[in-house]
Amino acid sequence: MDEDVRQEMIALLPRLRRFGYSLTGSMDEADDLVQGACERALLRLDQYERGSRLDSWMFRIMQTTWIDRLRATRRRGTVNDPEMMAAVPFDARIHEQTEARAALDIVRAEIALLPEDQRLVLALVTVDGMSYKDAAEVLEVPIGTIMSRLSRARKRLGEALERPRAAPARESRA
Amino acid sequence: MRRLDDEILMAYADGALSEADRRLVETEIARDPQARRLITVYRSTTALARHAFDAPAWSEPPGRLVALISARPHCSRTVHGWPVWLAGSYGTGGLAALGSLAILAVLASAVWQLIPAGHDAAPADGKPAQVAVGPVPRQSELARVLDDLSADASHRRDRRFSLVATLTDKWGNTCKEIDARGPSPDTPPAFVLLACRAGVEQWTVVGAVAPAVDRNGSRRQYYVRSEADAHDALSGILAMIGAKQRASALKPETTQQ
Repeated sequence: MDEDVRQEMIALLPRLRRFGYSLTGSMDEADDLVQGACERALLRLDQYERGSRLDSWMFRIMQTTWIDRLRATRRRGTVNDPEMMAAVPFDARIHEQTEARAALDIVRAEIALLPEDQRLVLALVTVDGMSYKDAAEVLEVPIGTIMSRLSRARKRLGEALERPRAAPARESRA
Repeated sequence: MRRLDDEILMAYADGALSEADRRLVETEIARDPQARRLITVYRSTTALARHAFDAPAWSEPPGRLVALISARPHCSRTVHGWPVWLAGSYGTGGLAALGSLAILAVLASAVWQLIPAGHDAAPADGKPAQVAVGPVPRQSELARVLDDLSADASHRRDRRFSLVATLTDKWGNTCKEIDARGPSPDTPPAFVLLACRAGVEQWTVVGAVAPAVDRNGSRRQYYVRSEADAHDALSGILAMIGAKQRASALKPETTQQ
């Protein structure tokens, strides 16, 4: 039985890592966070209710681990991970490449500035694709709370994207 | 016209409304450009936020995470012969993962067999005890050695302890690498161990290297092949726990590169 849970946990790693990245803003910190959460989960494996959703349980542990670390370090999200940013695939349907990267930079920077509760909801619903109901289960709050936090976070992102910005400096050619 | 809540518009943008509610919203937003604009904002932020944290790398989790989850509690025979150091957190915030604990138990068992009784971690009451990987009892001799050992070698009974290095691991915990020899400094170490602690928390032995013991109880060879191999192994594991700073190197003959 444990073996099944472990395999399922390994299969969850891509989602957990992306969730961690959206919370911390750094790929390395994301992996550290995932490792910390997995350590906790494995130590408490006997508390996992067989048959219940492992992803909800793991995301909840990720969330508490992240909050604990935030409290311990009093540190907010960090700068974008250059390695990760370079790996972001180009999507010509959204923007021209440079503009798309700039927009993604803004998104990451704004998400890092969101209050923790809004960032968590955004990471779960918008980044991971969880339903409102599942996110409410993970965070143990009513669906209405999820929706209001999410709405505020996305409006704030939208405002940030619409804000006028200085044009990037271009190299002039003689 | 009734102004729709932002949350309802967001649920519409996310496709989270029932068919009846969706039709109702569509009727309303047909007359409300502000609502349509907000729906556009919700949709665009969804696409961008998802895109911002997406990367092919996620599908290939680091081996250390997979190994951590895959580690079984009863795999002692798979780590024989080599020093195993724990790459995990200790002290406040959880000693280690179950996987790490599995390794810990294995190494504790191994060291238990290899270190002769009556020397190294004897409690204050003088009863014989042995070095084991894991938390160091607060009243033990080993705890006092770890607390007190600085530049000078410390003699405890017939054992001579030396501080090889003071380190800081990637979690900011203080670690000490010490070796224990017989009364003569020329004898090879009975063992070399690394212990860490967070703040003033209890010390935790996170790894050790010991010489092998043959069936007669005498040491014939190192648990790893040589002292140099032992220290190479320690260096590799120090890198695993991110111990980058070496504040002291007091014993050149046993200090790593």
